[in-house]
Amino acid sequence: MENESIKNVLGLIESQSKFKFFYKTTEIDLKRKISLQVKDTSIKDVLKIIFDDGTVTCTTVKNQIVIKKDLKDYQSSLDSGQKSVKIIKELQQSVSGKIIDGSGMPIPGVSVVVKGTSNGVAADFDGNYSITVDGPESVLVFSYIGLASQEVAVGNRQIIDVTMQDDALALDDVVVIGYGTQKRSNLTGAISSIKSEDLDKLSVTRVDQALQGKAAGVMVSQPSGKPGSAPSIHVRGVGSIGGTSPLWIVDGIRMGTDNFFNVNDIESIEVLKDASASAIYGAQAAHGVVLVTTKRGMNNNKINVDFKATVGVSSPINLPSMLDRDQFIQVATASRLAAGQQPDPSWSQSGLPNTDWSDELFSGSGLEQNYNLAISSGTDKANYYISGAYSGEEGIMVDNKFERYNLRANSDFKLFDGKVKIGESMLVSRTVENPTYAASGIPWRSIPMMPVYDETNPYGGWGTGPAYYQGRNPVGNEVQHHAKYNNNRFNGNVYLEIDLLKDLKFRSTFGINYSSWLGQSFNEAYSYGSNTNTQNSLVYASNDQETLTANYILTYDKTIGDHSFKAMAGYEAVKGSGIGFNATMVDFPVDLSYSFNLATGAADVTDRNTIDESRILSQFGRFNYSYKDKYMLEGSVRRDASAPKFGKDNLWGVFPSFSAGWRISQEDFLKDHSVISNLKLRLSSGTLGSDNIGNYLYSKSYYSLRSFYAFNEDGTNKVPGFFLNRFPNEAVKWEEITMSNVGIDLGLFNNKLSVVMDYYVKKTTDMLYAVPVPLSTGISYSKASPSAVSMNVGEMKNTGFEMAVNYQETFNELKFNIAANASFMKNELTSLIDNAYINGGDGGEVLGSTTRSEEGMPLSSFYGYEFVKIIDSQSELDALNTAAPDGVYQSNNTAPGDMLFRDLNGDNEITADDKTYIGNPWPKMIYGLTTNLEWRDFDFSMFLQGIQGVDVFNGNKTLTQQIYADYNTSTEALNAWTPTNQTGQPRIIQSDPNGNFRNTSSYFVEDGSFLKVRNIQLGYELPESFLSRLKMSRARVYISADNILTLTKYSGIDPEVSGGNTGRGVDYNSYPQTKTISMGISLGL
Amino acid sequence: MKTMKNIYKNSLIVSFFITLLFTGCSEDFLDLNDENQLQAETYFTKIGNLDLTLNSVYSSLKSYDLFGSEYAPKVLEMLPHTSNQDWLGHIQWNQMATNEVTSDNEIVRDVWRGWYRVISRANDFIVNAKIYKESDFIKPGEEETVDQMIGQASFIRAYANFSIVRLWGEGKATEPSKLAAPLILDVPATQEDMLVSRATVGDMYTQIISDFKVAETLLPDSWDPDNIARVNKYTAKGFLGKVYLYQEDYPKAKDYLEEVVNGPFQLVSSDKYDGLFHGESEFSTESIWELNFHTDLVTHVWNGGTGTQIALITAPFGTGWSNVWPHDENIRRFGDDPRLNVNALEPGVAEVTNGSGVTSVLEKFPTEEGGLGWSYKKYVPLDYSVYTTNQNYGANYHIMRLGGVYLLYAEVLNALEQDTDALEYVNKVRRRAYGKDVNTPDPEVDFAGLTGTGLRDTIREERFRELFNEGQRWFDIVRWGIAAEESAKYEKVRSGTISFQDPKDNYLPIPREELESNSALTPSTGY
Repeated sequence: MENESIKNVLGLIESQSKFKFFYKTTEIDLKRKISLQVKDTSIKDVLKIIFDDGTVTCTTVKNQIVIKKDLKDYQSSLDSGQKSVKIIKELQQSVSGKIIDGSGMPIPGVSVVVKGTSNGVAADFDGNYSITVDGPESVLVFSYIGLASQEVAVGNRQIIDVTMQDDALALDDVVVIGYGTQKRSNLTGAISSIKSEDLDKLSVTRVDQALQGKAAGVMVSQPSGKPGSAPSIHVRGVGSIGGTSPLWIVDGIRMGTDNFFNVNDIESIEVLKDASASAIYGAQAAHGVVLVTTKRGMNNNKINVDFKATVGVSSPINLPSMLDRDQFIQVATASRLAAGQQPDPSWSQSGLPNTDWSDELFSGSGLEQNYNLAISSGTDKANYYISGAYSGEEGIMVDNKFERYNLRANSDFKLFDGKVKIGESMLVSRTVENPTYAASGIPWRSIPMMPVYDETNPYGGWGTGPAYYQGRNPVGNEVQHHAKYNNNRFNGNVYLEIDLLKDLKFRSTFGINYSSWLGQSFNEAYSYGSNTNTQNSLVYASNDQETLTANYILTYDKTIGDHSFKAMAGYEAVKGSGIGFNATMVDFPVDLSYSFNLATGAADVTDRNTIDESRILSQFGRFNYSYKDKYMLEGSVRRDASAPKFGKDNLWGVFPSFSAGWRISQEDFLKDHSVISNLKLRLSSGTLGSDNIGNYLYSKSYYSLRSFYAFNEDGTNKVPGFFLNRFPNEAVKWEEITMSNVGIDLGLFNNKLSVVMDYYVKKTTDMLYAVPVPLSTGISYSKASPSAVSMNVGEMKNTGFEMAVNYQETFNELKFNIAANASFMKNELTSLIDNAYINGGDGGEVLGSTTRSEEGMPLSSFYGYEFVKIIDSQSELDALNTAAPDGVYQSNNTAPGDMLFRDLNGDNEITADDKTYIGNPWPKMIYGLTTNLEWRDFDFSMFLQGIQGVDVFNGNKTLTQQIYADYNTSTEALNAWTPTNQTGQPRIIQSDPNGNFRNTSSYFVEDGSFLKVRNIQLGYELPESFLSRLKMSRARVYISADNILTLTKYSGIDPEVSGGNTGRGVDYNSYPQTKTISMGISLGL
Repeated sequence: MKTMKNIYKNSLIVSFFITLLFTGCSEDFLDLNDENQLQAETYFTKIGNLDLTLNSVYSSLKSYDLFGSEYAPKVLEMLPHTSNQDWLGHIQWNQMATNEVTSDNEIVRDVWRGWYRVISRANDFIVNAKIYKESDFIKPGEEETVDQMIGQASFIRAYANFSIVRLWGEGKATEPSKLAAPLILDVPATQEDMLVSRATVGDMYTQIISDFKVAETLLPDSWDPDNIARVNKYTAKGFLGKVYLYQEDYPKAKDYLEEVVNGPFQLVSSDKYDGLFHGESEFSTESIWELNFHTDLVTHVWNGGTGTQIALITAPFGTGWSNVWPHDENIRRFGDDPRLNVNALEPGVAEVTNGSGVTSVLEKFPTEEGGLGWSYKKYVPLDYSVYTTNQNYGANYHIMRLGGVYLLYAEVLNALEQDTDALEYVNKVRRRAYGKDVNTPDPEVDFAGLTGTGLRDTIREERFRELFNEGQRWFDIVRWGIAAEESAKYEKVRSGTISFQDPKDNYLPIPREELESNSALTPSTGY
């Protein structure tokens, strides 16, 4: 053949052989002319000659020959002659390209998905991607968090380079919501999101800590620097006098994250704040819902390996300076003499030890280590994410450590062309804790004259105190109690998702949370002087908990013209069970043993065991409608039963919500506005429930807690006694919260500046209040008052305004981003029965209760006398006493140097009637500010967090400014009032006749506002040229400083305090806060 | 495609099957019972459960609020100034020591709570035991056992009410119209039932006598060694005698006390006397009723352990907290009576064993001018430190013993002008104390020739010496009407001057916490 078109050549071959050719006319240049002369040549060789330009590849399958433009990948499949299905696919078109940002820098990790399919890949480290599409009509969707998504029609292009623009509002982000997802632009509820990139920059080891300062309306307080310790969380103010923890949902199943979760595994955290967002969780959503979504493998045909390591050292931010021996003796002697008491004779001995217990006790290394390795990958049929992590924190207190081991496996499998999906999220974790033993805190009680060690002490050689003194050797006490808490957990879920019809999806998830806790504690025999126990003992405590969840969800999603509908219906059942067990044996003939087999003494099972059973059964549904993506309506309802919380009549509760959104910026008059790029108004209202109450309050039962007697002669035959344990309240029912929310989303300057504002009113009704019963009813165990009866009586109101602002800008090579949020809130207890009030807020052993919750006031307000001044002279005092009806204005032995309280009712004497509200422990404002800067290969971030307009009760002053009993105290005591040095601090006198430190007064209430520099991080990305030699795609080293600075007027150790809802804001004897300096490296292969 | 459809269908069926399997019928799924506790509806259906409930009635007497810790050392021995204080940091305790108690005093609150806990448990038992007796659940032959149980619970309820009326009653037993405390005989079913107003002293005594008489009728004369700590018929008789004495109904008091005096009891010999208070002769021939304690090395008192913490509070330096010690005035008051050395440890002379081995007792406050500084001995371990025994002590606590009954009997006889017999019973107690034979008159130690009020005052002083630190003194001086003059003898304690106000300080205030939750109550007069 001479000079024939390729089309004709191929036609000729077809006619002369059994072969058929397949090709795309757009791909093969059929008009090209060739000349060909062959005989007895294989078809393969013939084709090689025809397409000798190398632009085309040919694949043979039986008698069919597929001709395609060349792609190296397919050469091999040609040679190996793979099966037909594969080859048909290869008819598809391949597209590749590079993704860069506005400054020309490549963006790794951008998701590239063929629209309308689940086919997707992620860009590599250099921003390169490659994806196979069905043909020119395909559309690629490029998306990346924080950047505006783009849709690009493929056409005939094989190379598509994309420049992605910043999109501060990330309008098309998909946000995880209850039992589903929603585009941010279509949200009508109030939801705060935190993404994995934000978490990366935080040095937190707990998920709940990560919420601090990051989400408007979410208050997180971390009152302790103890490794693994929990912060308190309040979403939108304190919603109840009872428990107000938010509900945690991980990958669609309710489960806590506590201290066992690996923060590195988190893809995003969503906090559902208003009723419309959270009502789908009904009975447990009253105090907010936190949705945690873990990472999954990306569909990028590539194995990603990420390794991260950090090592740091924590140290106490602030420790009190304790009196040394001579100072103690001086102050204690003066204190006794002032009260007409003799100093202790032993104080006059010479050569007494001089121990600084603060230094001795807080001498832990504070070493922190975290290692994380994650491997992930995916194809369009399956993906996986596997990670392993270790985290170890040595406490700043001696003999105190927390360790965590994590293993996670998440995968998804798509079957039947993606119509059936199955997958799982699994977490296996172990936490090991060497806890602090005694009430952790400052060793006030131990006097400097007790040595740390004393070789003559037969019980371990620890130092002992004098006989008159009851305190322990705090270091010996920690070390001699060999406690180890081991908690193994298995948490996860498997799901099955089926596309029943084009728009109808069914999803079923089965979740399990299993936790097995074992506490072992061997207590050596000890003697610290007056505090002695000559018998060693071993305690075993175990607690196994299991929660099974099954839910079934149908989702229908349909768009007809401008109308979009979405409907969801679901059914959920939760079954919880747990068994706890506790046993003690005494008298082991060895120094340390963890085996009961060695015990020679008695066995005891005081707390015996507990069996917990709980059930939740729910039906729920949600309906969404939107018109032109401009007007949005949503309604949801959930019906819940929670056992064993409520009796038969009140078993079920119904929790509806409604919301609406209006994207004003989609209206014609704003559509192409030069400044306003997005404006949305949101309205919502709904009812939420809370079952945060004790179990079985509706039933009457008999129990033998702490009730024993022996009737035999030598008293050895101890028998239990059962008694009526509680008064039932059959009428107990759900506590309800009704919340209304108005929100505005605003985006300016092409969304470079975005603002989200919300105002809410949250009313709690039928609040469960444990109404005290008269003591004369008598139903209680030893040393306890009769249990109050929980009744639905209280009401509370919280109002608040929240604002989150985000601004980002790029100047040449400098990129920066500022995210700030602030929340203002107000709490009022609006009703409680019969002028009742709740006292709380333990101010320590000197003071007792410090707070009162009463109608018309914020919950847990400080309540006591108003401190006026220190009485400076006898004449001043005499004037007061003369005017008093019985000649005593304050107390019998009040003297100059004592506190003067304000006579509020004008009766010229101080009585209980002069007490008033002296402070509010709930902040007026909480805020957070995050700044990220990137310049070339350097990145810098700073995170500030603070609270403003809050009162803290400095309960420590009752110990730091006086000699209480024989306790040591801090050097503050040296500043006490004396006739010659008239300071503003009360005189020191044993037994405190005026009650300076025994009475709750405003003397102790201080402004607890603070601004903390939570984190500063400086990072450096190693250059690519260097990395390619190491076969690494990414490496970043960084140095990080946490809690490095606190700005506050508070005089105590740290103003960040927490406490129960009716006893909030008391700073007393807590484990000191820590600051941490750490270094880290993050590698990607 | 067909296969795929089938798989769809099958998976649907499987999911719904799982649903059913998992949830079952929703009502069953939600129906839970508290497995940690016994359900009231089915509880009182067998006698064994009645027995378990009765155990809790006894147990409530040794709660932390009562004889487990607080009651004796912080109330009964503070109000009459048996003790002086070392530890001054506890303002509530200081109030007790200076007779300046206020209604928010937490110790008063604790003791109130403790006694009403006893009442509540006894009531619940009595109500349900009576129902059981009439029910179909009772088995043949159980009736007598149930009756004996009711007898015990009735006794304990009477004893609790007797304690309450003596602590909070605004008048003596001879002033029946004065207000006392709520008299509760049933378990409240509603919130309204819980609001019980104050009964009169007379009403309370009527109920106390009635309950003691039920006990007297139903209880056996004695118990086998395995049940020896239970109350018996003589315990009830002894208390009936005591109650009638309080009412100054001397003939009845004499009848009942006589039954005890002539019953199967005798004073332990003088060499065993000291041991009565150190767990050495428990359930002796002298014992009418004692609380059964046993050193509990594992379970703390506040967790329901079988020991008591009294010794922790009262034991001398090094062996206990030594928070209180006998008031110097009491040491002087004993004079050369040998019972001083049964009750107190002389500093520098007496020896105890503590963490440092055998050592002589340290003087309390040696620098105080004229101070004697003795420590407690009665109900305190001598051969080890309470610190080493899980802070508790196992010596039984005597509620009523023959020595005390002899003196009550003497008091009755004196009131009935049978002074010779009265004197003999006082002398029996003295002879034992002095190491003599109880029944052989001994001019060396015997009182002679005393009659009338002279004898009366001698008996009172003898009660002070014999029953020192046994929880009797406060009730005695109040019923004799001499609390104010007695307090004056002590003048001051270490926390301040004693300021006894008559009549208000003869009784404790109804605790504020009770007043705030029980609107049916009126505050105690003067508080």
